[in-house]
Amino acid sequence: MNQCNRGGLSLAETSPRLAHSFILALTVAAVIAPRVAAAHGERAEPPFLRMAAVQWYDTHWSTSHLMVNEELTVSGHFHIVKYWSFALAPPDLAFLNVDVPGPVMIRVSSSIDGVNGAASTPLELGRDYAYTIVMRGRIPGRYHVHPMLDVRSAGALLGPGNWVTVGGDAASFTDPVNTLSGKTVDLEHYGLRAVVSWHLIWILIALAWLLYWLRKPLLIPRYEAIQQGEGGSLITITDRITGVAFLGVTLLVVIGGFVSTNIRYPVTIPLQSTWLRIPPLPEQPTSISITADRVIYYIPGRTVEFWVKVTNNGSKPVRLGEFTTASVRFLNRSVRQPEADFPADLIAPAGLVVEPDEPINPGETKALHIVASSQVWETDRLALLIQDPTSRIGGLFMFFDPHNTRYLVEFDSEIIPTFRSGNAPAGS
Amino acid sequence: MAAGPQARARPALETAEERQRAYRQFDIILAILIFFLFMGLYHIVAMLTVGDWDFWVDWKDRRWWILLTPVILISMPAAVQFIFWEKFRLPFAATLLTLCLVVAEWLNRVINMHGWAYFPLDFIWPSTLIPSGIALDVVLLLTGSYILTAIIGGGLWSILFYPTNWTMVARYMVPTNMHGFLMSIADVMGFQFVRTGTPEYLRIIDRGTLRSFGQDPIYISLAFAMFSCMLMYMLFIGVGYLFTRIQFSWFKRV
Repeated sequence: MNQCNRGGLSLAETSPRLAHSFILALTVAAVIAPRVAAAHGERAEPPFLRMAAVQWYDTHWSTSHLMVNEELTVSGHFHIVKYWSFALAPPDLAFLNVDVPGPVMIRVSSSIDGVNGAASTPLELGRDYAYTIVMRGRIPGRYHVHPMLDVRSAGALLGPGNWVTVGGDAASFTDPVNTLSGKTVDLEHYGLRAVVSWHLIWILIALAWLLYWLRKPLLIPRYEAIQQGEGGSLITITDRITGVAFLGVTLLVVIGGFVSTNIRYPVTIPLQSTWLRIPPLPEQPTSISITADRVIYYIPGRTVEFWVKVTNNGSKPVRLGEFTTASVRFLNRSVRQPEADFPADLIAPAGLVVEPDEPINPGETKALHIVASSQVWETDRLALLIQDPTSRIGGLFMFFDPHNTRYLVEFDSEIIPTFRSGNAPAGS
Repeated sequence: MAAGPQARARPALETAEERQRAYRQFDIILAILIFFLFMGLYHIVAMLTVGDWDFWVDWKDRRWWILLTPVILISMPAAVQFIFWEKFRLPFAATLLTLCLVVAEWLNRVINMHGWAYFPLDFIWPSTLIPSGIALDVVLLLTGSYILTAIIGGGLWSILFYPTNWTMVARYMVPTNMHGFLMSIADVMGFQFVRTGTPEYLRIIDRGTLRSFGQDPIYISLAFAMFSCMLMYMLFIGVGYLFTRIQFSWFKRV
């Protein structure tokens, strides 16, 4: 008697059934369970890449809802960090790109400091650039749109992202472009009919050649004939003449097509590729300087604390209004409010706590204790700085005078993680 | 009641008609399997080597595209041509492979790059090597010599690539003025249809030396492609020879 009987079936009979049932259950679960996958790719970048390379600021999306064929403008500034990370190749050649899920929107134009951004350009360390990217809706959907800087041998450096919804009908999309010969063409479908026609012509000729041979007994009889030394009889005069005819037709079609194409398109240019040297924005006078005494990251409390000395060499009193790093913004609400249309997930709710929160007068050096506390250090994976080859925090401090003139100061310092509650910051 | 030795001694195919029918069925089944096998194999070779130069219209330049495509892709036709000719005297290996490649490429472009990634088909259409394949096959048919096929057929394989595909690519090289830059339509398409992994500086087009032979580098590329194709053909004929020595024992048993 088989001790593994289950309801009269042997183990050999039930195991495949169990396996089939399991696979069926997995398949059903795979079909009904998953939801839409949405990821913030910038969070996958290591923290040092986001803090010690490019700082994006003033990023603005002209709209978060547009229809197919309507335009969206992404604009702002980016600052190339003066103390570029040693682990990254320097920005000797960079390209202003945009991060969208493929060509769901087309890039109509882009510019850096008003210069056409279609070419790559070297970037200077410690300098600022203004950028504009104009997009046009093409495929309906909801997309996360980021400005992006591609740096040769370093990779993609993502800026802040905002959700943009494209509505309408994808079939209504048009992309008219004027050529120098005076014609207007729609790049969505341009030349496709001719391409498909030529491909079909060649596929038919190829099929004709194959069918000529496939109509004969193919493999086994021919193989046997060769094994018996009768391979020479397998190729007949008719085969050779047919081959010459096919080759002749092929050459005629190729040459004829080439000549007629040159007649139809007499003016063509080769693919263009170049790079430019785009000058940065005029350098802002450095009337404010910051030196760091100590910067720590209290991991359990998700808090970064700065002990710094700020010297105001300008002519007006200033207050610290904002600290931004890796596209995340910490705002001192008593000085600066966030823009209504800026993505809320990139603004730390607790803001920036500055002690003492008072103006720094001209000529004065003041010691500040600054606390930037937010779960965003963890949700944006910036806390993983501890696993990076460069344990330095970088960012931009923004000071404001009574006339709301902004002063940008780049900040860069070693940062030490703290794990023990004894070193917890006050009030946490 | 056991089947005796006498029953096993009778052949399965007794008449000539039965044999012909069985051979034909074997041909059809094998042809279908080989078609899909070649589609997969040759397409993977093309994607991993020629890659971007064939994916995008703004990579179809006058140097690398017309050099790399024929030189790399003559490899498999050379090896398969040896097998088909040596074992079956069938001169259609190159044509079959190039046809399989075009079908596989169109499937990939339509389903994957257009259907999934939303790239317009006029930006991602593949090039074709079918005329080159026909030329290679016919030269082997007429000469019966691998050396002559390498020299004449290999030369034709490379030379025919550019004029064949120029009929399709020429319209994309029409100039436009794009915000103050002179750009071809292909360049504009590359700029507009965003590829986050392909910044402008990554596009390897028209880079190289040997620029003192007139303005157009096409002739240099074609000449180099021609000689390289001849060498590649001879090399991969050897691969086909090794394959037949190692893998063909099963066919003998059939």
